[in-house]
Amino acid sequence: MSGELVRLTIDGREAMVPRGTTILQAAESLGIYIPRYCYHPALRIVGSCRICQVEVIGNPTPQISCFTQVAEGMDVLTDSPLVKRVRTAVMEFLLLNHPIDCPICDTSGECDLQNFYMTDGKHRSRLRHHKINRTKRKRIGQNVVLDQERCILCSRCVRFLQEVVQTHELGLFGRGAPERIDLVEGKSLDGNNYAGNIIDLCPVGALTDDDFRFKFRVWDLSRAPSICPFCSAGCNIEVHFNTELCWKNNAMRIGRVKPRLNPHVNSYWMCDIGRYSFHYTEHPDRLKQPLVREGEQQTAHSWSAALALAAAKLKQAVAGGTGRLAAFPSLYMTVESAFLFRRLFSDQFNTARMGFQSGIGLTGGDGFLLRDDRNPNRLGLELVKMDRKGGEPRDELLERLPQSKFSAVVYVQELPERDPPAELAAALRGATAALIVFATNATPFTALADIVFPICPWTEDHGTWVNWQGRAQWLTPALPPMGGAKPLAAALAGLAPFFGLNFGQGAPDELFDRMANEVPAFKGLTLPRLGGEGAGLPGFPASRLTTLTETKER
Amino acid sequence: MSVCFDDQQEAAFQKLLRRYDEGDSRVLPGLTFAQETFGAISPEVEAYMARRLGVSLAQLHQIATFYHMFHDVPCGRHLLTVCSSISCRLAGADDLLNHIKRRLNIAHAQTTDDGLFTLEVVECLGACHQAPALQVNGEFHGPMTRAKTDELLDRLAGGRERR
Amino acid sequence: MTERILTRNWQIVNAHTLAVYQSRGGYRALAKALTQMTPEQVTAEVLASNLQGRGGAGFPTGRKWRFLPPPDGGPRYLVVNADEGEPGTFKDRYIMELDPHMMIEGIVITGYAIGATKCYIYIRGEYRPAAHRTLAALHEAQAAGLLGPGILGSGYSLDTDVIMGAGAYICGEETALIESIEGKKGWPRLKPPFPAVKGLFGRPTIVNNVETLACIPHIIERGGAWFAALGTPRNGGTKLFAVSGDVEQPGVIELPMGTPLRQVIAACGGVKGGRKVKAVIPGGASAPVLTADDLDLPMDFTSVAAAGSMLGSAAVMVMSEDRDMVYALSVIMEFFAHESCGQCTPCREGTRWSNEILHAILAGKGRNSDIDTLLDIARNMDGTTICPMGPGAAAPLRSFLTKFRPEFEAAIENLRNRARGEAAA
Repeated sequence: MSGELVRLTIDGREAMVPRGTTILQAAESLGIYIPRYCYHPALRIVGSCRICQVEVIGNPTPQISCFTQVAEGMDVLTDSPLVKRVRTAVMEFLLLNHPIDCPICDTSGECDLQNFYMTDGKHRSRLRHHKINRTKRKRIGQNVVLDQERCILCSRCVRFLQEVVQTHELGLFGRGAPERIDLVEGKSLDGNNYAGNIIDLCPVGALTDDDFRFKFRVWDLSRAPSICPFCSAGCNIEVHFNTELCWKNNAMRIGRVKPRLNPHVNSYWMCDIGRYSFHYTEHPDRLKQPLVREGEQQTAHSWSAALALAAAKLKQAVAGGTGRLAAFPSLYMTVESAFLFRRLFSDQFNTARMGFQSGIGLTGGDGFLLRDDRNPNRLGLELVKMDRKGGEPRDELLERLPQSKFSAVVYVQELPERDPPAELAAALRGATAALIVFATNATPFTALADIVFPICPWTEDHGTWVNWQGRAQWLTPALPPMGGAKPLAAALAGLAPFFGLNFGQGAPDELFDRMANEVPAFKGLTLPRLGGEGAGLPGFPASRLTTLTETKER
Repeated sequence: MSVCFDDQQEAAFQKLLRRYDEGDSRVLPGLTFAQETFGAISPEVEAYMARRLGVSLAQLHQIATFYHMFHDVPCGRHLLTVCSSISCRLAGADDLLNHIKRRLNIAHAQTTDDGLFTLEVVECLGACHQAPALQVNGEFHGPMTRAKTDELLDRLAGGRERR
Repeated sequence: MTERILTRNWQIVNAHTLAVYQSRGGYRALAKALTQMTPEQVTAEVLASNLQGRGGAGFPTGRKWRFLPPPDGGPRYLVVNADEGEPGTFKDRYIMELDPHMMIEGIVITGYAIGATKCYIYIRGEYRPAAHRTLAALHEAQAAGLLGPGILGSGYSLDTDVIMGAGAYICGEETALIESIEGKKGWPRLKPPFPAVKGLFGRPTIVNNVETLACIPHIIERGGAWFAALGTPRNGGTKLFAVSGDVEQPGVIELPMGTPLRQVIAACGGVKGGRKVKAVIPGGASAPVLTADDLDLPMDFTSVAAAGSMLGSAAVMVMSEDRDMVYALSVIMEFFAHESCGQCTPCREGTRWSNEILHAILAGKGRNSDIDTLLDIARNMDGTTICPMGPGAAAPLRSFLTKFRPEFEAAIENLRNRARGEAAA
């Protein structure tokens, strides 16, 4: 584009946009929303649904706004009688063969057939003949259900699989009204880590999420921004939840997770690993209060009591300068928690060993979004110099714990499935080492710990994560903490005074400012600067911070 | 039974690839050739031809289901395509069609049990001046009458008895 | 008596062979173009001839060629649209079966004029006899140096091949045709860009109809002005009319552009059985229907358009006084429902819906409101679609229902009563 600006009028309002802009984009810049089905900013323009047609003065034929580029002096009407007639006509045509499944369709409430019918349709049905019957409820992937009758043939799903991930599992077969979208013979979306995106793309209930099926009505869901923790991509996401209807969904508050647009990180997409791994955060085995071992049992204690006990055990363990501490930070920690953790367990205890090794390859992954590093904040922990006193790989240190005569172990759970087996905790007890654990979920390992602090998972936590690009992103809580769980930073801040340190309540903004002052990589950054899309940290190649390429690397 | 060109068919296919060597122009002729060779575009033929033509199975199945001259099951020895467009209908195509259906005891898109005839109702064949018209394996016939139809079917069936 | 120009060889035995074609003066025009004219002069002559596209759109051919950008050294395509699928049309079939060399000569001259490097002749899959004749003629022409490298010893080369369709009317739309050659479904493209700028394989492409190309040698041999004078202002030359339906001698007849409809019918032996005309479709199923009031209409693009219809492919379908208009329209809409490519909403759903309503009427399940519903469907398909099939499907709906409304109203009621009576019996 030459950068030349074009002046045009839309609904009597003037717009100045670069040459090459479409009418639809120009309208959006004025806050005018034109209904659309087949158009999506990340996909090839096909102009097939025909609902985005507008009137261009001087042209008796309506023009599709998704494709038609602006011209100097163009005069566009998006709400004239012609446009209204065309939109109502397209709505009527689309609803001819559409089954009125709304009462049982999950997409009800966020369906663009419903939405545009209410804004631009409202015709009375004149249909008297049979609708076309096609396959309903066909599972085409692990979590994707296809209903061919509901499909309006916008082809977004087909185009996504063709253009963005280039896997071609779906096609649009047949000719004319009996056309249908279907899986290619012998293929499935089971192995496709990006299958969930076509559910997001589908404007109607033709593609629905089997994981979310019948859990909540969408109008009962609240939405909160978050960041996916399951790899170092740091895809921006949105958690959809309901905290009131506790009789639904087995009292699990989260209904589903969806991607949130960030052109620099993940565009409009996220992978299925990220999309479907949240369930553990709402599982009944979530720890809700601090536990202290008494004999063979763990009993609930208040935070203040448990913290005091933990401090005493730690002091006792390293008394006389001979006791040694092993500390296991979590790669899921925020930078703020990591900062506190290091100040407490590395700086305080000279003999500490950290179960953490940095420098694992920053490349790799599946060539699109998913990174090889399945942790959200390895870079963040490196930046706060978590291993400056000597670190070693977490698994190795865990394994040699019983023999190595540590007198105390501080362990932060990353994910429940990554906890070591119960035998290790038993062995530690045998070696009379105090085991203090910070965990979200109960596991056989945590069940044998001396003290367990219930911490918040990422859905309830706040702080900064640094993704593989070197981009600092701000994680904010989507949900209130479950039971008596606290963010790890708050728990550590509660432990700090026992060792002569003061971090207040561990409030995120205070901690961030403290940390920004002391950790060179964060110097000069403030929370507002992280903004909605994060901020690149100095010292990382700028090329990694450029806009994500929309298509999978071949 | 795995689908594969024999040596002769392979030679012809290679010739086709050399002839249609620009862009993906080989795809439509290639699929037509596959149907002539294997009798129909079954799922196995599609999988084989997607590989041989270097296109995705999605694209090939889209084409196979879009163009009505592609069949997924083999036709009988004689494919009867009866025109049902306006000029032929005005000239009696309805009657012609019913006559054929009764005589052969099949409906549209069906094949007689003896594998001799497949019937298809199609749109304008470009033989409107010879209405009502039909094609037998791509050859034009018309204007058809009941008598001419019987004569044609008898001849094709090798003089077999009428049902 | 009209001079036979396009059909001059049709009654000659073996006219499809090179020997006979040449013996009757064939390929003289090609020699003239290549040796005595520049490509621009050829184009100028075609412009002067007022030749309009014979495929249905009637766009001035010379003007279409002028849309091409200057040559850039890359491939440039001439694509011959031999997908003739418009109901009632069968003239291109006969050009290819009876006189393929006339088309080929036109192809080479056109290729020379537009700088084409390759020509694809896209023949509908149902036209096997025409394809055989065309291929045989291509081989003859190639062998005689009239096609291929260094034609007639000039610097111009044109590679030409046939590619067969596989049964889809929509592939007659030029961008759908291009998609088909490119190995895809015949889904028309969004425009711009138009094929002249970005067509086959993304390169400058001209798509021309068979009959259009068959006119070219004559224009070159005898001049554009001569061709123009044969017809009416802005509508040059003669036209092949494919006449069918209720006429005594259906077939292809060549008459000057602007011949009155009445004469076209008379030239085919008049209405069958000496009956009266009730309805005439002048240019294929996509053309609005005319009535007996229109028999003096000059059959050229301009006049027929002014009368609210279109000359289209000049496929004239005559329906005499006893014909059932409800039945006729239902057959036509059946065609559009079967042939809609399905890409865009209005045509995909509108053709099926209107087809369903018409069949319901025939089955005695019609309602009085159906006529207005059908008119509404026509209105909503017209101008809202990707390709001209939208207006093409809307045209018969609108014209039949408007011009024969009383018949439709009566039919709805009568058929309903009959169905009720049969049900009661």
